[in-house]
Amino acid sequence: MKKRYIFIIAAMFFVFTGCDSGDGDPTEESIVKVTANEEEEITTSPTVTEEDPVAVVQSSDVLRGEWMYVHSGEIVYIDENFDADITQIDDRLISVEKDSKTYHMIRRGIDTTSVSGSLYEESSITASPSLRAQNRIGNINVILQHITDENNKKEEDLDATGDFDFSNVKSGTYTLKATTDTNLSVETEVDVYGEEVSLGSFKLVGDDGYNFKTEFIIDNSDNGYFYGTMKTYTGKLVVNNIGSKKGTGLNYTFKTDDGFVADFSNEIVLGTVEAGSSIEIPFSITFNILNVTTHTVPVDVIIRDANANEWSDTVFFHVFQTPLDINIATKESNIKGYIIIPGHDLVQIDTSNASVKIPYREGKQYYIVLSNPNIDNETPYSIGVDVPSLNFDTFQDTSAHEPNGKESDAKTLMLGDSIISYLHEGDIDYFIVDMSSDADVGSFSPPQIPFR
Amino acid sequence: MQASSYSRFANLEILNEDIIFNQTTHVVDTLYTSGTLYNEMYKNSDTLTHVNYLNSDYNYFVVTEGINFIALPNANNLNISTIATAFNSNVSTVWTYDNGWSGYSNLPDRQEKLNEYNLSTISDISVGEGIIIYSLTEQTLKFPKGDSYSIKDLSIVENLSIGWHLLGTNRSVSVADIQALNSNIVSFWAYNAAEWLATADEGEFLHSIEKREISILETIPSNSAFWVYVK
Repeated sequence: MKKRYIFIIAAMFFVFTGCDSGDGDPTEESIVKVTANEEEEITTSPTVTEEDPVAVVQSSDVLRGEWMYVHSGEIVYIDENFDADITQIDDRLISVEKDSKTYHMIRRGIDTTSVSGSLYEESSITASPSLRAQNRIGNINVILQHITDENNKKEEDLDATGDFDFSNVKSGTYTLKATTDTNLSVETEVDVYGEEVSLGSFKLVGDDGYNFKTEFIIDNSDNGYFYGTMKTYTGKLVVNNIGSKKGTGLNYTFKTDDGFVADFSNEIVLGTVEAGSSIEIPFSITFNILNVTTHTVPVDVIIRDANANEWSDTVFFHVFQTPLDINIATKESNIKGYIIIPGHDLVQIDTSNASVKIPYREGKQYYIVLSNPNIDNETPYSIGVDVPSLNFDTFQDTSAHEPNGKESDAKTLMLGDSIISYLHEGDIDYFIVDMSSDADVGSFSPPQIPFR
Repeated sequence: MQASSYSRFANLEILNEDIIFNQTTHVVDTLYTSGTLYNEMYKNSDTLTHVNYLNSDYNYFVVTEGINFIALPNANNLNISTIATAFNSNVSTVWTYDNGWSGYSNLPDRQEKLNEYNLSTISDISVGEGIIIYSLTEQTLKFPKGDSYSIKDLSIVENLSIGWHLLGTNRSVSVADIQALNSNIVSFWAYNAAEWLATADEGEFLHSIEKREISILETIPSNSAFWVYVK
């Protein structure tokens, strides 16, 4: 019999929830209790039926992936090796019992990310500054392999365009490996977070070749987001030598003619980069006022060495038009949780009084999830969506907005709403920030030139 | 006191040929005069020396490196040949807007990109139109000379359709003066020295402007383009 390792083996039974802490009214709807074990043999149907309350559930791809403790931000990867009792509350929320306390975890990311990029070979690069015009090759095998989970893998044989496009990728860090039958290859780690990820260009080189990949680090982004408000973002473009040979006498050219870029400048940094090392090039970029809710700005990177060899890549900046302020205040102690942005980017909340900037995305829904495993941290709190939070002078309704302990029970907040609620021990509170507004975005700010 | 035998001017404009220099004169910055006078009398003069020369048969103004919102500096429309002269190859792109963008460039790769984006090419620019250029350097642009004008005297503002319009004015004009001509204009935007300025008369727009800490626009400067949104 084929032996398979899975991580979710469960007896199907009902756990009843009343309030949000997982104990209470037995008339509430059921949730699935699952247990993660290692090296269990699966012999039964993957379906779960109420008629068979002890049926084994094979759902290895349901919970597989990165999860995060809501109260602490600790990230764990759930796979065959995860050893704890898990209660699945909904698709994106689970809880774990430890030391008689209930800890909630939310999925970090999604399992439906689209990942794209392109490959080119040593001899195909041209002198053209436009990376999108460069020649590409095909007949390549591309593998996207999660760095710790051998069962989380995507593979594709490319056509002649050299473009790859994986769908339904789980968020996480992967090794991208591409090889040709002519012994050209590239292998490097890539991060996959968000709904659509453009990885840029990868050069295929021989075994004795050297190779580069570019990424950027921003010093002053707003929770990792960029806004078209004429704010100047500063940071470093990091050129990683991902080959096996040092790059000698390297120089760099950065180009963008995007009409939404008001200014781009970089310092000139020259020098040799050893294999496995990187070089940081300080830069600044200012995005113009946007007349659309979001826009992606490509910046082309061309790397040349002292022997006139050339590499090219593109880094992408996803820019948003409008920052919204989520204003949060508490009465007693810090409140902990996350704002979940479509694509499951997470913005952490750990505050007694703060304003958190998130991007306005028309027609989208954001989630706010707050969790408290400790009696010491019970507190009233207030949330204002782009308006100030409320004061607690007369608040005493500790059941306000309950039940809201899972996504399907989340209370909806519209732009301009402000509420007060209470987070008790073992509680988890869900809110939806609904951006299905009829705001006429196009009439707020003027059109920007198509290119420079 | 003994008269000086040497004169210096920062800038000097000579309007007619009656001007006689009977002592050594030096123009530290720019000498302005007609092409005819310059070639006949001053180009190789020993008594009047200069650093720069500009032909006073033209209007000039300085643009900075990067994006510039400009207007025609006088009441002469530009045709395709004067556009090509006015916007040299140090201007990457020239843009006008009439319910969509039209572009112009002397650079082959930019022309290619205009085709790639299916954008129409500018064939003429009329007085009152706003112009956005991307200049590759700080430079002085030269336009055929003509009379000055103000956008508020052109009967353009009164007849604007719904939507965005990119306008231009040679003489400075206040936002209030333009608004008085067309009460359907609900927001104004200008771009100067890498900074946006804007104003609006509706709460929602004004809130958006204030939230981004955009400076409030009160006056459209001379020789500049600006956006209006008509509701």
